Amino acid sequence: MKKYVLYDSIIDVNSTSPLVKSTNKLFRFLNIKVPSLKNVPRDIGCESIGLDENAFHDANAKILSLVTEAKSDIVCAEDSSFLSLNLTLSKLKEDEKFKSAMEEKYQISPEINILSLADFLVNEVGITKIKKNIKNSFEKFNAALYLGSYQCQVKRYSDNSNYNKLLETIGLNLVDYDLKNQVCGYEINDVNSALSYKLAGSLMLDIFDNAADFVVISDARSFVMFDKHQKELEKRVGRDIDLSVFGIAELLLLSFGVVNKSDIGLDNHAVEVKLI
Amino acid sequence: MTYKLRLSVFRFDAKCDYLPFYKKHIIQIDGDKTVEQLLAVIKEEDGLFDYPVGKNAAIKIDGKNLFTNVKISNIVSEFGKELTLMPMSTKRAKKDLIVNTDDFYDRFDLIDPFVDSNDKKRFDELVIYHYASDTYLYDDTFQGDGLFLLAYEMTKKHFSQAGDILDLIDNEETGIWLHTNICGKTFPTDFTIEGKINELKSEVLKRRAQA
Repeated sequence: MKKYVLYDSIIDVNSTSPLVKSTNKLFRFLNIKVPSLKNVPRDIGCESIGLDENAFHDANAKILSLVTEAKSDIVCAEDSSFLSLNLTLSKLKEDEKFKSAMEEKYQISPEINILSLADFLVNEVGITKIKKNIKNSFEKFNAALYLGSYQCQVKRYSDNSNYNKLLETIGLNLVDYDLKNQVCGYEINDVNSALSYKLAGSLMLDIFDNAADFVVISDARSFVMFDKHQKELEKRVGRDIDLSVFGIAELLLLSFGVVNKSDIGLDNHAVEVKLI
Repeated sequence: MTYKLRLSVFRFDAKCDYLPFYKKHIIQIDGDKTVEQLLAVIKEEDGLFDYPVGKNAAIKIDGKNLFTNVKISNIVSEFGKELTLMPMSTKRAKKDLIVNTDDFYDRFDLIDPFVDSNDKKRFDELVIYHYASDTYLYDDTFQGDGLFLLAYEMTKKHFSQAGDILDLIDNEETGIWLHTNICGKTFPTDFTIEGKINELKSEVLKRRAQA
């Protein structure tokens, strides 16, 4: 396997820590050495480009320079940071003026591979190794996979179907639902929280009404909207939702038989996890 | 190449229906034909069916807004042979796939004082973006991405009016700050749109800083 570092300085650290904790735990469980990048700028999400494009790309360029220095490729714990880093790397490849400006500050290899967690698990770790570790099957559960408001852009850099492959590997039945391409509202939460809750709430109700037992997300922004804000969503849509929200690493660990909630980060979910 | 398409077609008459329904059609059609020609075949099978016609006629297929001049072969390669045909906005549906676009043109009235009458032709071409927005779906006071994309072009074309145009969309209740990602909600996918919206937001902020 190539040398990788993990980027897990993701948005809204207080709410999204389960995604970080479970990814690190998963790598330890699988005995894969992917150290976290320390002292790096936190992801601010590509929705911030319109507010300060230079700050967005500068922060990502700094991260990429550290990856270059470590002579590694990089795995992202979730898809918001995955997209952010890819957008900056693409700009470096396509915009000569930007490239020259960044070269004055940072040394960045254009050959860096930025991998989503799902791409890394499927293509580098391999489904065979994952299968070998499965102790608990999810075959009795139905879940909805939500790939985030930016799934269209993420798809340019990643194979979205790898999430499906991983979930199928642990036996999970995926339900289809009409609003799977609707935005989750995170990007307008600061400006109009009521509207953002309406967007996320209607999505969650659609998932609920399609008989999902829980939701699987790939992007930390969706985790914030669906888990941290679930009570607000319920108030906005006028119905109980009560759906747990998981990242892929959490589910894999549960499938591998790791059931200690604090080991995985399940004790830090806003919506109580009742699967165990 | 001929394709056998299995279609679910949205049917609704705002004059007399309370709820819409979907009618099934199985149609064989050449890949070189357009969506508009496919709609004409449906009309031949069911004379009561109505659909938008004209230069900027557009509908929604499998959740994506598109103009009806798109070739069937492109539709099949993107969506497959089982398709759901809907109006661009179900809540604005007038008759089957035809929508009442008055709200879209109300947005042009907002920017009209700052542009030429010729610019309306360009606005007509942005209709699919207006109805692609999830924000619009839940808040019909939202100015809409059709207006923002026109504003993006007009701030460059009518430079002397750029400040007024930016002020128009700098509205936290209805304006550009409520924009949500529409990438992938139209076909073919245009990856430049979010960049244009981001550039507009930056211009709005620069103008705020100058004020």
